[in-house]
Amino acid sequence: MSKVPRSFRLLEELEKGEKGMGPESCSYGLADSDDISMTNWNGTILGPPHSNHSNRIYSLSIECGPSYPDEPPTLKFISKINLNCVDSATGVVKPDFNPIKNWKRSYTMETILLELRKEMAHPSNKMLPQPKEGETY
Amino acid sequence: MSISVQIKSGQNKWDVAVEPSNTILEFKEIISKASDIPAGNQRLIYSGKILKDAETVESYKIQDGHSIHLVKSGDASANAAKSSTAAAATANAAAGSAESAVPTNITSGQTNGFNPLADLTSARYAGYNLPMPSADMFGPDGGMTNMPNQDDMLSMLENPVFQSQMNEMLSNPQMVEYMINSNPQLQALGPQAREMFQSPFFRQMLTNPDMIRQSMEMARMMGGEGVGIGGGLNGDSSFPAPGETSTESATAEDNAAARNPAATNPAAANPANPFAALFNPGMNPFAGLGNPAAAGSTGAPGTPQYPGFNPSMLASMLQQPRQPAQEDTRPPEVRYESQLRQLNDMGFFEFDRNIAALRRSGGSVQGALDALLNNDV
Repeated sequence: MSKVPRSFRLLEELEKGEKGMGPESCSYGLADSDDISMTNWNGTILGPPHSNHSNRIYSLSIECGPSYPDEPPTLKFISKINLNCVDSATGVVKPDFNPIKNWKRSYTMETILLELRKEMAHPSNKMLPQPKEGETY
Repeated sequence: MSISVQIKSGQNKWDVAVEPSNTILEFKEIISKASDIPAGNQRLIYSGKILKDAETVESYKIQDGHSIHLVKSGDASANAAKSSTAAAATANAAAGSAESAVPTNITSGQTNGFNPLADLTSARYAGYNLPMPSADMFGPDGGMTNMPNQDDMLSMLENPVFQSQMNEMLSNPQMVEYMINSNPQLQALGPQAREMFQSPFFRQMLTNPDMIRQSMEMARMMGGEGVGIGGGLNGDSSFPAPGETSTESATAEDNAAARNPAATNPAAANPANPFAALFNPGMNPFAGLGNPAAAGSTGAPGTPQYPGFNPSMLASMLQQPRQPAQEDTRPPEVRYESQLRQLNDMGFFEFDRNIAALRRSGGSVQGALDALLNNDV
C-alpha cells in the first residue's frame, strides 16, 4: 500500500476535526488556518467524567514536524495538568508516553489525544490532585 | 449570509444557523434556544480551541457544515447528574473521598475492579442447573436488594457444585482479602483472620450445610429472644459479638471459651454465657475447632497456638442474610467503572448509552455489548 503523503494526511485530519467526525471527547484543528505547512495545531481534551478532570477542558498545542506522520508530533499542554506522562514544568507530553514512544504511521493526532484522555481516566490517575482550572504553563 | 453549523453535545445534535459576524456570546444565545442550555453554562470547542465570548464566529473561521462541540459547564452537569440518579446527589462527592473505602457488604457490586461475584456469572457454570439467585432478586442495577431467604440459602448450600464453588472462592487469596477487608471485625483480627480462612476446617464449616443450618437456628434463636447479651458491645447487632471488645485479653478469653467448651473456664459456667447454646454436646459446631491438646488445659489466654476462632466472625457472616442487604446507592458510573472502561477501550464512547446498557445487563460487559450493538439502548 502506498503511503499517504504528509499534506494529504493532515488535510484529512483537519477535515475530520472541523466537521467533528471524530469522537466527542477531543477536538483539534489548525492553529493558524493560513499556515500552508500545517505545522501548528490546537487540540482540546474534554476531561473524562467522574474523575478529577471532569468538566475541564484541556488545551494543548500540537506540532506536526516535516516528517509527520513518519515521526510522532510533539504535544504540549497549555492548561496545567498533573499527569505522569506530562512534564510538570513545561507541559510537554513526555516522549516515553506509549503512543509517542511506539509511534506507528497509522496513528493520528486523535490517537494521542484519546490516549491522553484514557490516561486521565485511568484509575491510578483519575484522582490525582489537579491544579486550579484555568492555570496555564 | 448565515452559515449552518452542527452543535454536538453528548448524544444530542442541533443544527444552528448563525451569522459569521455574530459574537460567540450571541452564538451561545442562539444555541441556548435550540438546546435549552443557558448561554452561561455553555462552553464551545471548535478545532481544538475554546471559543471566547468576545470573539466573532468569523474570527475562528467557522464555516458552513462544520461542527462545534458543546460542553456543559460544571454546575449544569451536576444538576443533570442529580436528576439522573436519585440518590447520587451526595454519592458523587462521597465517591471521590471514599474511593478506597470498601463497601460494607458484598452485594454492593464492583469495588476497585475486584468483583467477588464475577465467578458466579462465568461461563464455567453455564449448564449447571444451579439454584443461583434468580433475576427477580436483583434490582434494576443487578444489586441484590433482598438476600435469598434462609431456606433458599440452605438448598443452595447443599448443591455440590455450589460447595465446590465456595471452596474455590475461599481458596482465592484475593477473595479472602476482600472478605476480611469488608468486615471490620475480621480486620481487627489482622493476620489471624487470614490464617483462619486458610484452614481447611473453617472452610468446611462454611460450606457444610448442616453447620450453617445449626448456626442459623442459633442466630435466629438469639436474635428472636432479643436478649442482647453483649449487646452493649455490639450496639444494634442482633448477635452478640464478644470478640469485639477492645481489650485483647478479653478477646483471648472469649476465644478460649469457644475453644474450650467443656473446660472449667468460669465464663462457661456463667449463666449469661452467650455461648451456652453452642455448648450443647453433640451439636456444637465449634467443638472441632478446639485443639485436643488445649482442651484439657485452662485455655492459656494470650498464647493462642492456632488461629483463634472468634464466634463474632460467624455471627457477622450470618447476619448478612438476616439483615436486608444495604442498597447500593452509588451512581452507576462509579459502580460500573471497570466495565465502562472496557467499553471505552472497545470504542464505545457514548457514556449515557454505555451506562444504560450496563444497567440493563446488570453490569455484564457482554450483555451491554449486545444491547449496544442491537441498538436496544
